[in-house]
Amino acid sequence: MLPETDHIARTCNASSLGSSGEPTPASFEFRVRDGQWKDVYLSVNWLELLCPGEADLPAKVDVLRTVQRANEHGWPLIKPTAKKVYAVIPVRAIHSASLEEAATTLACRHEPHGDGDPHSGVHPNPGVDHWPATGDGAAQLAVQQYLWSAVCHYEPGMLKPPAGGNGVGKAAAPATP
Amino acid sequence: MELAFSPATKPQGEASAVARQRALLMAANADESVSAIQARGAEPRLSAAVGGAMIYDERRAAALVNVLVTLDAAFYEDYEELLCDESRAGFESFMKYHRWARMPLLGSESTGKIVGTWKSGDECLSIRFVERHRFHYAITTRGQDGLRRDWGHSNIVTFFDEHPSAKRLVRG
Repeated sequence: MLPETDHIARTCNASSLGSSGEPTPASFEFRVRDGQWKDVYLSVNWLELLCPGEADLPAKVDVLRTVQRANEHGWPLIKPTAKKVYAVIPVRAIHSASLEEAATTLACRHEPHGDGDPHSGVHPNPGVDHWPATGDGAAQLAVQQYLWSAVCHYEPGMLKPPAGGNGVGKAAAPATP
Repeated sequence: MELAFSPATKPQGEASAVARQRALLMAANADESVSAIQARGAEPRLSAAVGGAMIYDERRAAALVNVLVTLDAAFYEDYEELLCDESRAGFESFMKYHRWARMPLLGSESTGKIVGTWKSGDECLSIRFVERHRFHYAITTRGQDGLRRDWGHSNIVTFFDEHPSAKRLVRG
């Protein structure tokens, strides 16, 4: 499991975001297709694998952004765009999920496609095979809400360059909820 | 300027006074002064009350349309499909039935189902609009023993009677 001192970043689709570009519980959806769970775990990226040490979260997200844009190894991933958002959650918050009423705990595990791949997963325990295959159950909404409530930082997938600058971009207002 | 009622068909009584005012306001410029309304024989206090409520409803309806159009466009861009019709109808029904409800934080899942969330401090309510009158909810409230989570299925008519704390979160 990922260290509890570390963080994961979830790439959120634009349609899952609120009107101000903030993540919502819809951003942490476990997907169902054709009556089966498509997502055994929630795909996320381990920030400190790429950027260990004491850098702040925007700096760590920037490293992830750079690696994903380049994707030199051709790993399957969601490319960051200006309309998508990285939502950061502390691993400690995920591991301490108090969802006893749902008899569900959550664990972050590294799920790399190759050496150096930060891809990881938020695994429910018991797994999705214990969830109703109709998919959109209320208990799963509670899990999504919990993950959303644990977001500690979010920012756009792609950054706008400053006006009149040299093209090296920094975001307008990365947000810490 | 065309009125909703002709003199031959105008309704009678107190309800008719409200209806008459509504017709006048619908036909009138929204910025028309109270004196101008009064000049047409309207009761200024009644017309202000009816006018205020109508303006609130119209603005709220416009805000709902605006937020759904924006969400629809984003969803189409992500998935080349439109939002789930039943879910959209469910959200609209909820917001129209509960006129006092704040606009929630709104997002869509990949199925096209709309999820609305209302937050107050560390308490929150999320609703996934499944069908026109049925939805899933997840609510987190703070009690004496800390945060408590609850979830289930409900409908727009009985939900707040069953969950008074949800009403507090939605009202704000």
